[in-house]
This record gives sequence, structure tokens and C-alpha cells, in this order.
Amino acid sequence: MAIDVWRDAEGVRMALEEIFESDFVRSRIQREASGASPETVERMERQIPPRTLAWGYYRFGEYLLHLDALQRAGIGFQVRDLAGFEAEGILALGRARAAFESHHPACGSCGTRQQNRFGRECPGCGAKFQRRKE
Amino acid sequence: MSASIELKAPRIITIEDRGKQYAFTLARITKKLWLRYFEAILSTSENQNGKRVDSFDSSAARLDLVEQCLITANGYALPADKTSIDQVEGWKALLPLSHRLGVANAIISVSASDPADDDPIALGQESVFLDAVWSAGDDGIMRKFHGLCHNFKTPTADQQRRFSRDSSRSRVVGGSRNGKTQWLGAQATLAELYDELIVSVEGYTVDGTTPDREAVVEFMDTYHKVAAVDTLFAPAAAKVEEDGN
Repeated sequence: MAIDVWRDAEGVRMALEEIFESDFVRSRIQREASGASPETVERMERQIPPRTLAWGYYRFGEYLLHLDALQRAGIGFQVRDLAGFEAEGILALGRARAAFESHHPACGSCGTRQQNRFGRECPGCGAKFQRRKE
Repeated sequence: MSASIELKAPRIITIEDRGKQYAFTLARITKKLWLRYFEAILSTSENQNGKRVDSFDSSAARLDLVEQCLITANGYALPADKTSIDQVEGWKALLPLSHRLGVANAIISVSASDPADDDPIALGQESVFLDAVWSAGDDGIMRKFHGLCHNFKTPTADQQRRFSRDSSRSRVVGGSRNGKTQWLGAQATLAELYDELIVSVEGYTVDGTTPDREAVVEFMDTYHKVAAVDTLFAPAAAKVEEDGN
């Protein structure tokens, strides 16, 4: 059975989470790999999580990211101009972004996204985090 | 540019094979036929261990297109009791496969080209240039037309969005994880956008005269429309110079 990718909001959400995650790892590698040998960079790039879904999900996810960027830049579209599946896609993008931001909270001092929620020190500015008491 | 493409004239494609010339007369290819062709193209991607593997096959689509628009063919030896090829039952399917694919390749031989003049681009108008094979001349020789000019209005953000949206649509067969992505293509949208954006053309005629906007919308070959708008939306290359240090 064929799946219309643009109607599969859950598949698109999963693809967007993977895009966010791989972009996060890629930018961390770029920061850490300055001056490293090509072999080291290649080894570090193996940390980038592989894409696990059919390719169409990522392409549609990239379109939604572009649409979202336009809206954030103030180039908004009228609701009547958007198809239902685009609106659903934007909601899926919101869910994927919220999940990513929950896994990688931003440092309150400098905004750097953290590797996970359990770090004690920001790798960006060195700010110390206090663990919340249960 | 002196020679022009006459959009209403029948197209004659000639092929030379082993020293003999074969001529194929084609009916005007309607938008419906072109869209059927685009839909029949198989453009797929597979995810193999995180790597994208693409495949593309348009041969069935090309053969179908030729079968749909071919009116007659000349140059073939006929059975003794026949005087013309259309008296032979199922004659289109009897034509050599390589000839049918050759005809198809000629009619889809359209590519973006560089501007023919050195004038800077006028603001508010965008020009796209194509090179294309169209039809054999009276001497039976196929020629390529260069610098076919399509002048467009600048696309709006919404038109750009429609193009991006429809270029990103696909269908997955075989499951969301291990399935194959079938790209649906945006050619129908591109043809619509052409009709919305076109202002004028150069290098084409309708009944021997330069067509006005309405005639361009009505008679321009859909494949040329798609190729022109596809070029319009393609990003221009930035001029980058290598650091000499």
C-alpha cells in the first residue's frame, strides 16, 4: 500500500526529529573538529545518526522547515492559502521541535543547546547547572 | 535569431539508421499527453543504510508518448500488399524500439541555455533561454534552435511556495521505514505557473506571427513550459573566486 507522505503527519514528525538531531550533532562536530585530522573528523562524523525513514519524509520535512522560516521572518501566508496537509505539517514540526528542545535544553546563560538534560556544566560558556531537587 | 519554431505546424522527426533516413510525423502534443508522460516517469529513492540511492526510468513513458502522438512514419519497407504504413495493423508497435526511443529523445531535447545578448536583466521581468530540437526542415535535417526566449513576471512568494511544496511531494511504497520513495514531480504545477507568469516569448510563432500572451498560453508546448519555469525557479550560481593565498 502506498503512503502519501504529505498526509502522514506522524512520519513527517519523526523525520523532522531526526533532522533536528543530526543537525545538532553535525554542528557540535564542526565546533569540536577544528584542527582535527581528516581521519578524526571522519570518525566523529560516524556519530551523526543515520536516517531511518523513506527519503520522501525528509524532503517534505525540509519544505515545512522552509515554510516555517518564512513565517518566522514575517512572510506569513493566509490560512486560506495553505492546504490542510501543510497546516498539519506545521503542527507536526512544532511537536518535533518541542521534543528536540526537551531532549536538548538551552543554557539559561548563553543559549547553547545541551547534549542532554543531565549535564552539570554548559560546554558553551562554562555555566554550572544545579540539579533540581526531587 | 532568425529561425523560429512554428507551434501549430506538425512536427517531423527524422532519424538516420544504417545510412537510411526515416521520418516520423507527430500530432501536436497536448498538455494532457505531456502530463501523462510526466506521471509515467519512475523517479524513486531508497534508503540503504542511511544513504540515499536514486533511480530514474523514463523509457516506458517515452515509448507511450511516441505511440500516442505518432501520426505516420516513412522510410520502412512495407509488405507487398500494402501501400502505406497505416494499412499495417499495429504498425506503431512494429517500429524498431531504438527508432521510437530516438523520436522521444528528439521531442524532449530541451535544455536551459545562456542569454544570447549582453544586456543586463530588466527589473520586474525575468528571461529564461532554452535550446531545443523541434522539427526537421524541408531538407529533412533536424536542427537545434538556440536562445528561445521566455519573458516572465517575477514570481511571487506564494508561487515560489507552490513550486517548493509540489516539488517535495512523494509517495512511499513498502512501508515508511524500508519503503521506496516515488517522487511525484511538480510538472503540472510548473505548467500552471508558466501560464500565470509568462509575458512574451521570442523564437516561436503561431500561424507565422509572434504570438501574444494568450496565444503563448494556448499553443506553447507543455514540455517547453515546464523546462522554462523549472529554469526560472533554479537558483543562479553565485560568483565565487578562489582565494589566491
